Amino acid sequence: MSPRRRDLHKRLGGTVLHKPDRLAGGILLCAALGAGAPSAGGFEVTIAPAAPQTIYLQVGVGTFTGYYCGNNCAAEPPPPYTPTPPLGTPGKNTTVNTVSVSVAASAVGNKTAQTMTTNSTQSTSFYDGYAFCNAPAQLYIGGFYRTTTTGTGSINVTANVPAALTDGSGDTISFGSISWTSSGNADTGSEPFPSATFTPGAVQTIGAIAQNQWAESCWTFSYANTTVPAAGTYTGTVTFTATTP
Amino acid sequence: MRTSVFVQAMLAAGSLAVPLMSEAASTVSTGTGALTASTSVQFQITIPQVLYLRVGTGSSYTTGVLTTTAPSATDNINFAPTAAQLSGATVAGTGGDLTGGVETAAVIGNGGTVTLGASTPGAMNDGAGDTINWSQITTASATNTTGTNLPAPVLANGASTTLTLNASSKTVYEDAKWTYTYTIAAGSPPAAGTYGGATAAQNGTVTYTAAMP
Repeated sequence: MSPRRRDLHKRLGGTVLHKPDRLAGGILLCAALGAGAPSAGGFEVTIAPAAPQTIYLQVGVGTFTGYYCGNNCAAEPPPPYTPTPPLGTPGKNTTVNTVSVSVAASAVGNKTAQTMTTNSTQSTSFYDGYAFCNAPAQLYIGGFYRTTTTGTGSINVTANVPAALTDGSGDTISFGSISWTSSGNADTGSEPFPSATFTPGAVQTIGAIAQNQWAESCWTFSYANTTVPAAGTYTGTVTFTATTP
Repeated sequence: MRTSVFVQAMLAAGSLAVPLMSEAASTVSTGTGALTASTSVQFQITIPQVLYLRVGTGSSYTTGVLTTTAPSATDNINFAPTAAQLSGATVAGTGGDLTGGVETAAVIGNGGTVTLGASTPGAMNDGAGDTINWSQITTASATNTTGTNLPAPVLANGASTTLTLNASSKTVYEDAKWTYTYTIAAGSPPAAGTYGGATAAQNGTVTYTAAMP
């Protein structure tokens, strides 16, 4: 893992910056720690063990009271519950975001991938409020896996992928025609939820979160557009799941 | 029993719920032992209705380019029978985008069954009162790139009989190489002259029409 903090410096007087540039933070860290400094990469940051054991998974918009790192965003891991205010509190958001594309008539089946967009408004990370994704072009995916003790375990995040999108009239488009690229503002390395293509009709591992870690990526989807399907509006729902041992 | 805060609330209210399997964009699960959190995303792809017809030169439909292109002189089919053929023969043409009197023909549609027809203004004439019936111009369909050859309408003076192209999963994707020939019946040589061609009044143009009913 290559944990990389975004908040590594404080304002004069001790106020923590909550939304500094991630890359700038990384440069400051390297300067401070020299050869032992973590390299830039996807955003995977260590969090402190604490009770209760918790997993939080967010794809698209989410619900969180405050930010996870509270007012300790300059520390990694952020110390649990001290000083006040405590760490942010994750919640359930019942929104189901949509990733969509409307192919132009002149482009149907022209073998040029069509970029999809989302109706998500979530660009900021609930870890620290950093503008990590670029909604609605990108879909946020992230969360944390926290246990009560230290450990080296991890949990996979899977996608339960239907075989195809359907138009309600018996016509289908394979989910294998939908791919995504993974990135994150200021990220330069591998992502915890890397680029891939859906595997139709399968439960597919799309990333992992290490024990006592927050991990996140931003996905940009595209439709392969290699065939001329029947005219219509095709829909399908993918369910993402994280399960602890 | 390990349940989420959300599920606990539902059970307290007397409802039965499947723990954390409801659709959501974010979920949190806490407790001891195994925990599960699930979120869902809906995907949507909208495909408009398209209908593509090509006879002769045109866009590269085999690579997915379904665009309109202007007619080209390359598409003209010419017959120049020899004196010997005037006594009765099948005359091969020249020209066409595939040369030798052969045209590329393709129909692609995604809205169900497609009809394909052809029409002419009437018999070709030479501007001097002599005519050649379009029924003497035949079209043979041969394999191009698709498994099903696109059939060619039988040409006539006026409208041809409309063909029906059946769809598979509401899509039609058929092409062919259409070879045109001119048949001169024995004992019926045409009067010398140039028939059809670019002069509209000489009825030398065939118009093909594809439609999705």
